[in-house]
Amino acid sequence: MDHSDLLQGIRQAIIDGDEEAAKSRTEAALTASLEPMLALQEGVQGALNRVGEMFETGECYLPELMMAGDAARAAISVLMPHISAADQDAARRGKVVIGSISGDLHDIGKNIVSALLGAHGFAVVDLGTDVPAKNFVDAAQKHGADIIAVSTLLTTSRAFTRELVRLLNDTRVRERHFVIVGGGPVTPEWVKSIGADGYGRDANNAVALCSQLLSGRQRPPLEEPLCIGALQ
Amino acid sequence: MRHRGRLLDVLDRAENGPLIDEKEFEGRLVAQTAKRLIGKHGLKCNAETVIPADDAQADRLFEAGLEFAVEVGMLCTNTLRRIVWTRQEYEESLRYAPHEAILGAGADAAFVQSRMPEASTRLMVVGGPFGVGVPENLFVPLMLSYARESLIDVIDNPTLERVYGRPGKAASPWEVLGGWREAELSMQVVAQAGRPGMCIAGVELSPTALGEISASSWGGFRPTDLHHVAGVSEFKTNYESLSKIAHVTRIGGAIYAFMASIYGGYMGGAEGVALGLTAAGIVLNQNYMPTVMSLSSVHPFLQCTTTRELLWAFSMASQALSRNTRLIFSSLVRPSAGPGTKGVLYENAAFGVMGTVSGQSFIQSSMTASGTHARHASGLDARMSAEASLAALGMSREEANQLVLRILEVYEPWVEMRDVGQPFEEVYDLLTISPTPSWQATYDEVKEHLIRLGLALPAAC
Repeated sequence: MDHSDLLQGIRQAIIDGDEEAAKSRTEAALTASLEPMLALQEGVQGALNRVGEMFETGECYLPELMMAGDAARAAISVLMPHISAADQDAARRGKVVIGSISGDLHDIGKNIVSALLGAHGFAVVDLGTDVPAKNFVDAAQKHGADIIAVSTLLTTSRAFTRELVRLLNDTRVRERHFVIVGGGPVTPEWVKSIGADGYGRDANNAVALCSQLLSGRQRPPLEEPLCIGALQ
Repeated sequence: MRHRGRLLDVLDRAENGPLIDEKEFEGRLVAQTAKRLIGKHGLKCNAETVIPADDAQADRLFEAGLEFAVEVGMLCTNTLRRIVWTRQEYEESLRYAPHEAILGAGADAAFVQSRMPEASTRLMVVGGPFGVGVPENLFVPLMLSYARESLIDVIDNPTLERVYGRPGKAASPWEVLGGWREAELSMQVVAQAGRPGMCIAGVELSPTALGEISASSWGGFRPTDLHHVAGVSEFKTNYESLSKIAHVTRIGGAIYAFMASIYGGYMGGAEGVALGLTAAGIVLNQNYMPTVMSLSSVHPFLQCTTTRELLWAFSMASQALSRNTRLIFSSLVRPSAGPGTKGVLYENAAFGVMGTVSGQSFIQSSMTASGTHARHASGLDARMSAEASLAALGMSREEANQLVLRILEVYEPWVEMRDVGQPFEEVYDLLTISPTPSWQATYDEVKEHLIRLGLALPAAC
């Protein structure tokens, strides 16, 4: 089996959401001397990119997206011990702590964002729903998050996003984390008014936003929030 | 309501049902059961036929929904217990569920009843910008634009952005005051509209039970109003929602139960949404003991309900429920476009025709501009839904399908553009509460076009 077949095998296992196959095919690829970084970038990441596209075009849905994420994690767990620390850092796309803020129990939109971020290579820590501002701050500190992503579909929960930014400022850790906010009642104007760093209208926008925030040399807090998908 | 006798049974089962982790519930039970039942019952979306006349598939969908309800039930997220019932229990509850209701009081009372596909019985019309944010100073004028529409029977409240000038906050004294502020402003609306007994759907500002329970007591919302109780998420409930039900039951109020099945979410695509809506009707009837129900969905990227696939899913689920039960239900139309645009009128007309011929019991219009832009809603948006529904009474599904396909051809290219239009104060005269000449002219122009497309609306003046 040549290297392209091995890579295709890993990709297909991840697209199929088959954890066992993803793990065993990755092990087999390493045994066959496939370069670990190549397996990670073209095998695992290639598959995740494809699954992300499939979700966006309606070829697959949230359960398949989540299963592909699980399979990718299984493959990565095999690869990581064989990749140098420097290469791991280079491959790392960033860590995101995500959740629906206090009073908001809506979770499916947030779960879609979480799964799509995972599918695009971000490490995601999902705190769930009805998450107090303090828990976002604590989790971001604990996991060394680059980004705190907050979902709110309720006007009555939106007010807590302001508290989150205030808490980050008051505890003097604001410069460690970008804060992005999304959900029905959230607008770019709201994001600017609370001093957050970004807004995305939908799940695709959220992925693009995280990528852009972490792609340059900019550090939080931004003077002007980066808003993607905003309607006129 | 006579079916509220099982309240204690529901609460007992929320305490004692099978234990399950929340992720296991969503990822394994909900998602895998949906996928299996879609295959088992051969459910298949054909987006070229947005209003199918396929009775056999509608009945298979109902059977799938019933099996889903038995296998999955509803998760109480506080106890992590599933509220489960046998097939016989579900069937008996469906048999004796209320199939007609009177909402509101006195001369302003409205009658709603269950319907069948293609029936010529009139649908009740619930009008209001549900889910749309509104500042306090615009609440009364905006809601008057609905309450003064003679075709609208019940008004459904928007979301107050602030409470006495302060931000509303869930699970806080601000939620309590927010509920009361909403009640106070709503009563002004129905009084000024000359319809004091008109049914009001609220408390919209009640993410926890605090808003509903406080504002639905003496001096606030009345038992004859419709009391919102939402499912937390797909097939999930919690103590907050169950507390609202317990309270509304004890005041003898009417319950307006909600659940949404997200397109592309755990249930999957169009077939999954159709199954989710059908099962939601069965599960909500069992556990929330509602007077009326709203079964909704949303597109994850377009944020509307008016795409081909979703129209198919709503139509199929509505036919499944109306052919096999006598439940009173509707679906919220969530047009992509906003006030002042032609798009919102075409989207609302198409959705109104679909719901009417598919057997829905009432019109629920509308979460204009997908509810994402504060103040972007107006009474005229809902009038189009009501007029389209009236014109579609007794229409065959085949004829309605052709008509809606023609309307879709007009608005479909605009949906992705998300033209949110203008805020209320720019499309209505705030003194007279009437549409601006420009908005009225747009309405009349679209109406004339819809007539040419085959919808027998009464001609514009």
